[in-house]
Order: sequence, then structure tokens, then C-alpha cells
Amino acid sequence: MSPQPLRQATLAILKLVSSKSSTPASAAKPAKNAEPILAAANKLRAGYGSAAVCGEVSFALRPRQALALIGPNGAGKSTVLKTVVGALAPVAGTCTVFGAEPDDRSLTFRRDVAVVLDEDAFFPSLTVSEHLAIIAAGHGVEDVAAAIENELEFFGLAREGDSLPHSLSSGQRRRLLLAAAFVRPKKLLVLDEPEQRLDTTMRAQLADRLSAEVAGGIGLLLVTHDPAFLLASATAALSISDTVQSLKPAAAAAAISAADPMAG
Amino acid sequence: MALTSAEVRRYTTRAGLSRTEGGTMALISEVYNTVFAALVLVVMAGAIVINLRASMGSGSISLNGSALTASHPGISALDAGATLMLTLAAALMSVEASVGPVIMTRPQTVWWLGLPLDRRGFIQPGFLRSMVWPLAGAVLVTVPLALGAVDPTAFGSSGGSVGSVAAAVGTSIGLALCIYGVATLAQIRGKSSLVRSVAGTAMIAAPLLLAADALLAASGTKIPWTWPLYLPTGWPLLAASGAVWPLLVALLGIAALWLAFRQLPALTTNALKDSAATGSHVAGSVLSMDSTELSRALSSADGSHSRAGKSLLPRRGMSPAAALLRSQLILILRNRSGLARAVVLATVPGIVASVQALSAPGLVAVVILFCAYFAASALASVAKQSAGNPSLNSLLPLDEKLVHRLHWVWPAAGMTLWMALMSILMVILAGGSWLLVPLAICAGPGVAAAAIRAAYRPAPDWTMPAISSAMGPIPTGAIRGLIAGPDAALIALLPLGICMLAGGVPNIAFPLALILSTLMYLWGCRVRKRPGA
Repeated sequence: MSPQPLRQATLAILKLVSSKSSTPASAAKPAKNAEPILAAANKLRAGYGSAAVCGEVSFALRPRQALALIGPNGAGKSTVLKTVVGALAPVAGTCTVFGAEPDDRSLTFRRDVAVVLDEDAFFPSLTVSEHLAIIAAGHGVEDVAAAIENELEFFGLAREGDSLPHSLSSGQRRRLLLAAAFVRPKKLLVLDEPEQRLDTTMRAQLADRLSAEVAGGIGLLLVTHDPAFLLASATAALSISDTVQSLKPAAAAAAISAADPMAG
Repeated sequence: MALTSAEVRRYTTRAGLSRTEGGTMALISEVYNTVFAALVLVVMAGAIVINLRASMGSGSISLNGSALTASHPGISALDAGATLMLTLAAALMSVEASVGPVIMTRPQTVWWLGLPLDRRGFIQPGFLRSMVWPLAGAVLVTVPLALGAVDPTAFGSSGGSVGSVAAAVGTSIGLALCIYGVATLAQIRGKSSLVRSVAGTAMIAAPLLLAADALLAASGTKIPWTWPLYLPTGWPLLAASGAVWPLLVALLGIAALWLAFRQLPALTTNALKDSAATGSHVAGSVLSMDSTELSRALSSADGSHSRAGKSLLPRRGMSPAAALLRSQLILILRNRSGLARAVVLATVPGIVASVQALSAPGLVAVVILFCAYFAASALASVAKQSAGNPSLNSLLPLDEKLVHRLHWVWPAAGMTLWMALMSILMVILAGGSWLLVPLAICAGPGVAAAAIRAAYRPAPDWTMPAISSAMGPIPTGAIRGLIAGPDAALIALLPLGICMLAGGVPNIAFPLALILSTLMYLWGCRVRKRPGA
């Protein structure tokens, strides 16, 4: 099939899908004085089996807050992140998402939490647009085609909408995964090293976008190694290693730069 | 109104199907090439057998004689059948607990399970689809056993009738449902590892115990071996003999299935992602007919932490070739499940040959081919790993061809021992000419070379759009690659197979076996031209 008819076929499918959707899931904005806790950890020890990989982690993340986890490779940042979203069981302590134990079998969790880990798995015969259509339509987005077009444009994938995953570069696949998190409504966004495999311009744009999303009311929990990205997107930071330390974004960025002058 | 799970499923399937490439004709073309190559080999081998029998003066060209002669009663069909059922049921439970049994693909777990829609709608199709395999297996295994392997008068007068065969199949289906239900419940409750470990032990122990019993019988000490018949896995055979009560297991099966079905939405995304990863690994190894990779896929969740052979680690002053050989030996010794599988496989031809209903030389020869090839694959697992990660070998200053040949050394030594063990057991258990033993030994290095050929065959490309088939997507070129390895094993084992079919071992067979093994060594250890090179 030549590109033009393929694009038309895709648009037809997208129209069919979007005609079924109605009101998007509401992202209610709570009163400023009674901001609920979106995600929290209390003396959490993350690890595998009974072996913890880092010190005790405690935090409470509310709407309009962005918490960055920093630390050297192997310190346990991603392990903490996976534990907070329920992909790993805690070794000790507790963590909650929307006040409950994190469990993606719960409808609320799947509706309100968008998670992007490094999972490079795509349907080989579905195009970039069709992958995004599944997410947008599945989350009840009203205008699926417009939402997809916006995200393709933002993530520099506009010309790849009809491409199959095997023809994308590693960076483009990463951007597709990120686009899937933005094409849907959410209250909490969890990202594991979102800057990886992105060029400098894209990193800056993504950091600004995240900052805007946080200002708009979502909570953001991310792992990052990029000081500039952290400064632009985070409102607080935790340094993860054998001991866990709470830092201001500027101090966290400085700590990353001191540990690795080439970072970012 | 948001979409339903079924609508998302349908959308994904239709959009995908609209651009699969190749289709049925491409699949037929690939199957045709494979089957045609196999038929040519079979016809050539048949012609050689007939000529050989005529030249040996057998008096006629009928194929009734054999180098194997049933000189003693051996194992009863009922004992062998019950042990086979126990082994197969344990294997089924182990496989089900490893791949799921509820299976989704990795993209499905990533792109579907995060949607705020009814999870049952995404999980249930995988549950129902995966149920087809144990049910089909139950029918395929039970019908021939019920028709041929059981003495109809052993437990009742109605044995062997259509009704008793139907009862056996019904019991077997009930048993398969039980296994499937229990495996699903174990997956839901995170107990798959425990189930896998118990089933894996039973799977290895049952045939070894039967072989030990047969060896004792051959030496004149017969120990009664009827207990596997009274385990639930043996009940289909009791049903085939006329008993009706084993059908009760069908009720248990339905109950287990209903319990599992009700709890499907409780399956965690992690469990489904694990089974998706194992499932795709298993599919790849089945399509590439790689038993070692298949075994690794099925046991990957358990992890192997063996530290065997630490004292063999390469030392200073050692040549690169010697260092590589030592490293390979350590890895082979640490692959305990592979070694155990090779030992179990060595007993299978002897057991089959000693069961009177199964002792046709043609069948035994086919069993030898499969067992030898799978054992060689287990011993050549290091070569397979090396092929998947060539940068490891490039760390050593060795020519690529030499690396291939060094990878052949330990499997060749292992297969020489394996063929000796297999043929000695076969001759003891089933009787026959001891000349089969040196003939089998001559073929060992050739079969090892076949496994090296298979290890270095090009891997299927799963990233390209696949060929659509009833079984799901098949990567382009995968079926062509299937015969790389088994073809060389067949050629290396031709002298042994022909002699078994022909009914004697002429002197010419020994140099012929050595020549074929040498040729397979040269063929299997060559370096393939890379695409575009």
C-alpha cells in the first residue's frame, strides 16, 4: 500500500475510534489547601526478594509537584520507581498511590497514572498513529485524531505517523513511548530517565512540557541523570544511594554535575 | 462512551492484518521447501535400505528383520504407557507453569493492560486460546495409547471397545483441564515456580526409574512397576481398559477450570509480562527447532546459579584456544538441566525398543534421531550462546572458523559418550547386535557437528512484518532455517538407521559412518557467508 492510501485508511480507523469516545476522564483540580497526596513512600526499602538495593525512601508527592530521583548508576533509582508503581514488591516499608497500595489491576490506577519505563515492545504491524490511537481511544479522549496529531507534532514524529515500529530509530521509539503518556489524561506521571535517547533540543522541549503539565495540576515522579532537565522540570529531588537525601533542584543538579561533569 | 476491551482487541487485529506480508502462499512455499528436502532424504535412505538388504542376501526385500531382536519380554506396554503418561503430564504442567499458562504478547501487555478498561476482556482470550494445546495433546496422546498400548483384558472385558477409547479420551481431557486449571491458579497466586520445580523433578525421575526397572528385569530381577498406573495420570489407561470411574477426573477438571476462570482479572501485569517474555522466547525456539533454547526459555524464571567448574577457570600463560575450551567446559557443567535432559534422552530409545508394541526398527530409528539431536543441542548450548553474542569470541585472538571448531570439541566428546550409553542401553534392554554400539559411536561427532550447524544458523528476524498464519505470525525465512541442523544429524545417523532397518551391520557401515561424521564436521563448523558480504 502506498503512503497516501495508507494514511487515509489510518485516518478512517481513527475516525471510527474517535466517534465512539465522549467526555475525557476528568482531571479534577482539588482546592489548593486540600491537595491530596498522589504518591507516597514511608520508610520504603526497594530491592529484589529480601535484598534492598538502597536506603530508606520517604516522600509525599502532591499535584503541581515534581520529584526527581537522582543518583549514580546502580544506586536503585529505577528500582524505587518500579516499587512505587507496584511493579516490584517493597522489601520493607510502604508506598501508596492515591492512598492505596499501588496495583494496576485497579481501574483508578490505570485511569490516573501514566508510567513510562524502558519497555521497547510494539505491535509489529501497527503504525505509530495506531499505537497512539489505542491509548487515546482506550482512555476516552474525545478527539483522538487531533490528540494524536498534536503529540506527533510535539515529539517530532509527524512524518512517521504511518511508519511501522521496525522502521523507527531507537530515539523515535522512545519518543513514541513518551507520546503515549501525553496523548491520554492523567493525574500522576511516572517517567524513568525520559531524557535517554533524546537529542538536546527534544530534551529541552520535553522538560518545558513537563513543567507546564505540572503547573497544570499533575504530579510528576521521574528518574533523571540530566542536571538541566532536572532544573527545568522538577520541584524537589531525592538523592538515592545507601543513604537517601532530600535536595532542592539546584543542589540536585549541582550534585549530578559534580559527580559527572559530562552529564547532560 | 469509552471503548470496550473487545473493541480495542478487534481494532488492533484488523489494523495489523491489513498489512501482513506474504500470507498463506509464502507459508506454503516455505513448508514445501522443507518437506521436499526431507522427502528426498527419506527416499534416498529407503533405496539404500532395500539395496542393502538385497545385497546381504536376506532372501527378500521385505523389511521384517532388524538388528534389534526382542530376546526377552522387556517392559510391558501398560507399564511404559503409564510412565509415559506420568512424564507427559509432568511435562505439560511444567510447560504450562513456565509459559503462563495464560499468555499475552509483550506488546499486548504494554499497550493494552494499562488501559482503564475491563481487564478480563484482554486476558480471557489468551486463557481460552492456550487451553487448546493441552486438550489437543490429551487427545493425540491418549488415542494411540488406548488403541494399541493397553491389554484390553487387563482390567475388564470392555477394554479396547469404542466406548472405552472414548472414556480414555474423556479422562485424559479431564486430566488436561485439571493441569491447566491448577497451572492457571498457580500463575494467579504467584506459585508457578513451585509447581514448575515439582513437575520438573517428576519429568526426569519417571523415565530414569523405568529404565532402571527395565535394566533389573534384563538382569533377571523383576520389580513390580505398576504404581504409575494408579496415579491420576494413569487413569486414562484404566479407562481404556474398561473402567468407568476414572471419568470422575473430568468433574475435577471442570471445577479447577471454573475456579481459575473466575479469578482471571486478578492476574497481575507482572505475571502476564513474565509469561509474555517466556512465550515469545518459546515461540522463537520452537520455530528454530532449538531444544536448548526452548529449555532455557522454559526454565528462565528459575535462574541457574551453579558455580560448578570454578577450578577450571582459565589461568595465565594458557593459549587462547585452551582458554576458550576451558570456559566452554565450565558453562556446559553449569547447565545442569541440559545435562540431566541429555541423560534422560539417552534412555528413551532403549525404553521404546523394549516395548514390544513400539519396537518397530523404523520407529526406534526416528526416536534415536530426535533424542540424539536434542541431546546434542543441549551439549552445544554454549555454541548457541556464542552465536547470539559474537563479540565475546572476538575478545580472543582466534579465527572465526577455529572458534566454530573449538565449539564442536566438547559436544563431540559428549555425543560420543551419549551414543555409547544410548546404544548399550538399547542392546541390553531390547537385545540385538553389539555391533550397533561402535557404529553409533562413529556417528556421535557428526551429530554434534549438526548441533553446531544449528547453533550458527541465522536467527529469524522478528522485527520485520511477519507472515500471517492460523498459528499466528511467523517470521519470514524461519521455516527455511528449520532444517539447518536436523539435516546434518539425519545424514550422520543414516548408517545406524539403515543398519537397524536392514537387519544387520555390514563392515562397510563403519567407514561410511566415520566419513559422514567427518563431512558433517566440515559442513557444520564452516563459517557462513553473511548477507551482503
